[in-house]
Amino acid sequence: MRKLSMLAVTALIFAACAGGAPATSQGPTSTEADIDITGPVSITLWHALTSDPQKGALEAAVKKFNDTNGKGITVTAVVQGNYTQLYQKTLGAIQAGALPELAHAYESFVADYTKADVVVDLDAYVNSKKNGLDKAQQDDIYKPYFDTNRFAQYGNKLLSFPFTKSLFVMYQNDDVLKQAGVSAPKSWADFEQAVMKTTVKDASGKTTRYGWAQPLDASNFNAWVLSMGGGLMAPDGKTVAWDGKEGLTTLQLMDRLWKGGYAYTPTGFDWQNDFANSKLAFTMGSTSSRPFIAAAAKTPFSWTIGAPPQTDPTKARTVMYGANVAIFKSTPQKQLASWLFVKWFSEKEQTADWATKSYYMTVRKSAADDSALKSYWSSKDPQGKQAFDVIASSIPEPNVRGQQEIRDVIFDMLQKVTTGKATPEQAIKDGGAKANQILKENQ
Amino acid sequence: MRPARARWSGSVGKHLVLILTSVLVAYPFYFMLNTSLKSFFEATTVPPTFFPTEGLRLDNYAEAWSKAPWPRYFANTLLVAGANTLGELVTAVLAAYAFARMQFRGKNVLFALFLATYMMPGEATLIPNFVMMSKAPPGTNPLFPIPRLNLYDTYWAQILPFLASAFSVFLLRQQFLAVPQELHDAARIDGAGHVRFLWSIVLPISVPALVTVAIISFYGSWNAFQWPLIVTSNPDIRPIQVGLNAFRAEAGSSYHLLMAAAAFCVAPIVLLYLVGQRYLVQGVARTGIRG
Repeated sequence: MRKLSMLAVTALIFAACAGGAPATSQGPTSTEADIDITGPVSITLWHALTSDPQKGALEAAVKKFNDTNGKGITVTAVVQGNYTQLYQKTLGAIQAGALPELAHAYESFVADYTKADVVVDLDAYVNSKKNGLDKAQQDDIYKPYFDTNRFAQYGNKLLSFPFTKSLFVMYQNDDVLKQAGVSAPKSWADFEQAVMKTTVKDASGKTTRYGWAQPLDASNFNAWVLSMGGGLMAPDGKTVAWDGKEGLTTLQLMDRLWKGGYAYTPTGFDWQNDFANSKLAFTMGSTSSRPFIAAAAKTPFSWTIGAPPQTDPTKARTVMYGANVAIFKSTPQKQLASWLFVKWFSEKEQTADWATKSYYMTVRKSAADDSALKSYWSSKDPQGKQAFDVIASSIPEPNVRGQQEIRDVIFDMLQKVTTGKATPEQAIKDGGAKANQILKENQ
Repeated sequence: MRPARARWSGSVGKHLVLILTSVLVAYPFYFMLNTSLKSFFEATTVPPTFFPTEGLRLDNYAEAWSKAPWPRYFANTLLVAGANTLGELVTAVLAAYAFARMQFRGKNVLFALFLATYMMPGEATLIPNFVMMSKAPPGTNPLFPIPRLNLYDTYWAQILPFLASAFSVFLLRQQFLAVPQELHDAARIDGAGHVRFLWSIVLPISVPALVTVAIISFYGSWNAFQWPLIVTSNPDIRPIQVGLNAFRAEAGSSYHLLMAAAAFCVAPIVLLYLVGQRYLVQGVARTGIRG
């Protein structure tokens, strides 16, 4: 079934990329980015924020923009299911010539859409003297947020813009650590010891508290490799780099902790409940889990989030999570209107407000000075501030064509190791070979 | 005659199997209702509790109801599912009758082709169907290579592709083949043509099979999610399954509310099944279809 789904998605990509709707404009020129909005313009944003508080927060932001932009721009935000459904619909819309003006998208989606030549290069808009961002404003946006939206396979163009950003972080139950007499681990060796010491079994041998629970996901693996000092992609972009020493060390660590009964693979989001009720010491994942963890706690508990353990704590590295927004080729007026909305959404006031309502990260450094955000962090979301402090350590994952398939390869690799179906050595060797083959086919 | 002891143990065995099967079938419904009455904390506890231990959270239903425009979603779903069911019955009855009772050149090949469409996964037809429902971009031929119907974001886009079903045709053909030839001969002697024979003889004795087709069709439309999501953008014409998405997020799900919403979404289907189950069982038994 899984193979059938993959086949179907591959077919969708092929169909979408093989014959997209004729582009109505070429890449933006400085002329297109420097024009004025001359009349009412309606644009549509397809997004994957299916539920509150994120959905409501986005709708409120869109309403505010519509009410205050003063240029006659009206944005309509439409939910198109989760990310996978949004991706499939967008691929279909490329083929049907029925794209919206903007779409919420991961980097791997944008790489596929760009193959059909439907995505607007945003460099001209960002650098436009009339409608762009000046140097101070550009510098205020975290550099990794720009880096992740530049696509080496497409001439290093800026093809999307940060939108719903989050981070890969470690969640640490401080109550459990205190009870076990363990201090917060900084290195991976400390982490392994801490996981073992915080695991508790009863007299019958049944585990009553695990040290670590980890959903299996390619981004998690990538974050571990980065935190161990490894890389994800060779400089020429033709082979993966995670199949080296750091990738193997990651799988060996997982193998030891899973085989030893110190860690488990959750089904769904049950780890949130375990963590919030002190049946679990550590987990790692997106900063966006904060509200669900807080809601799952039966009684208040003490918890902290931060960067995952590091081989070199002075150079902390983690993976940047979250999606971006891409603008599709339409008319100069609609493209500009789309850019003006994206730019407005990234302004300090908006991004700070967005962080308080959606649990996503701000995209601007200056948001830390926003009084409303500071007050929110101190009164309601101290972990939000802890997450904010990690943003500068975040590194984007590869955004090459084929990355979506490579993520499946990594998932299979993790699953084989944690279920004992392959040794770490076999898994990393096979996974690396498969990933390199995918990259070769997508050059 | 078997001894009483053997009959008794055979009966116990049968009942045990039936009870076990009933439990397996009923458990998902029990899980849904049980979770819908729990707090978020309890709904996400593993292993799950067998009964809500923190009191019955009936307000979950009110909260779930307030999270999406459910009356609109229900009305849309009823409209689309009703139209699909009616349309599918009409096309399936006519096609099945032709394949079962009429003789024409290439009938078997055509029927095989018909069945082949049933084997095709929905994903493979997603893009061509989507393209067909959309509007032709300016300057392109609206009839080639795929005709453009300009029905994107309408009820018709949700109805049209499901007005014919190879499975329903197959099921009804099996039923119509079982109608004795003598009845057809007698009707012809009395001057009845195909339409009269179909209407007055075949359909009245095929009610279980027709109800089966109707239930399966209605059930499929009621649970449709991907296609309506793909061909609509306007929330005012979207169906209930899209509404269930309001409880699922990237980093977690509100399981207690999701289950409450699932409970009121599935209720009409359960009711339909309870009303039509006798026909459904007969229809499946008579046509030789096995699930």
